[in-house]
Amino acid sequence: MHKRWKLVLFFMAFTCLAFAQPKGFTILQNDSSFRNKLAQTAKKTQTIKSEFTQEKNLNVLSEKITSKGLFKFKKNNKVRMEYTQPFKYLLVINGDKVMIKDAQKTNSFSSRSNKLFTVVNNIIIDCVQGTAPENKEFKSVVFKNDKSYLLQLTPVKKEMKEYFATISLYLDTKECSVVRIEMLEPSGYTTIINFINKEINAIIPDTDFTIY
Amino acid sequence: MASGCRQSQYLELQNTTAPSSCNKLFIPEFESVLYNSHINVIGKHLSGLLLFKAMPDSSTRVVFSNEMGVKFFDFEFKANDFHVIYCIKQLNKKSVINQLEKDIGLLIFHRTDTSQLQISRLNEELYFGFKSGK
Repeated sequence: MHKRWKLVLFFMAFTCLAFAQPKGFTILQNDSSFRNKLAQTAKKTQTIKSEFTQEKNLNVLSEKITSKGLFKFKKNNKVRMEYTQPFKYLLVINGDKVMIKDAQKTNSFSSRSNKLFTVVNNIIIDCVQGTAPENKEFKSVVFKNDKSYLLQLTPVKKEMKEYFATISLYLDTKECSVVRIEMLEPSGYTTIINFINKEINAIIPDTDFTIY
Repeated sequence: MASGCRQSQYLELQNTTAPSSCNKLFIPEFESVLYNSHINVIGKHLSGLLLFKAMPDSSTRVVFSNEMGVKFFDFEFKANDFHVIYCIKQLNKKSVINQLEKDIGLLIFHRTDTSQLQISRLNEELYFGFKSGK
């Protein structure tokens, strides 16, 4: 191969690598310490209660939709996401059952029958339980900076690739718990969920996860 | 029977007149507007956020996503044109798309001839009829 072409290819590969690495983060070549930390945190975490803000950025349209609500998790696989803004909406996951309550009706179904609705919650559960890097639906890479770990998940299956280009989970290095989730769609639209005022192991009654 | 009775009610409409400004009365003016929306289609109930955004090129983009940010569809309405920018495969069927185009288009007077307005009266109520465009 001609030397000049080799040089061009080298720079192209270098540029691709630079793009893959999020700004301010360096890749963790050996992520076993992260995995151990995540597993330890998961072991200690019985419940999580947190407020959240969610931003959907429709950048092509220069538009942003902001939502707010309350997130609750209880071991092993109970999740409650209660949106209060801009409209009331409730999503409860209890085992393999899902309930959605909106202003008009309440719908209950098996999570096996509706993968799309539960994928985000399963990722949160996976992360809380320390099993996110083992999720076979995604290829995972771990990055780190001073304050956070960044677990970047790329869908493997074609079905999921249609919805997400990548899902990035930001975890604080101290507690190794999720503080931010960024979902990037193939269209370039992003959904960012920030968890704030988090309480670990607060008492949460089982009735919060009742499915009607 | 019931629909027959209703139809006969409309047959009683009597033509009337109203100020010429009335034909613009129903055309929404917005930069962007967000609705809490429910769509019942092919036996499924979808709820989420329906965003209408007026674009600089005078087209209107309509994006429907669920509360958790998962996008169901993204449509572009132009003066006499309509494009599907994105639609999840479960909804991406010709008959469904046509119905959504028609129903959502109605809200923004898409393909509607607003210059020709037929105003009718029945008792105390006024009825405004627009001709659908091509």
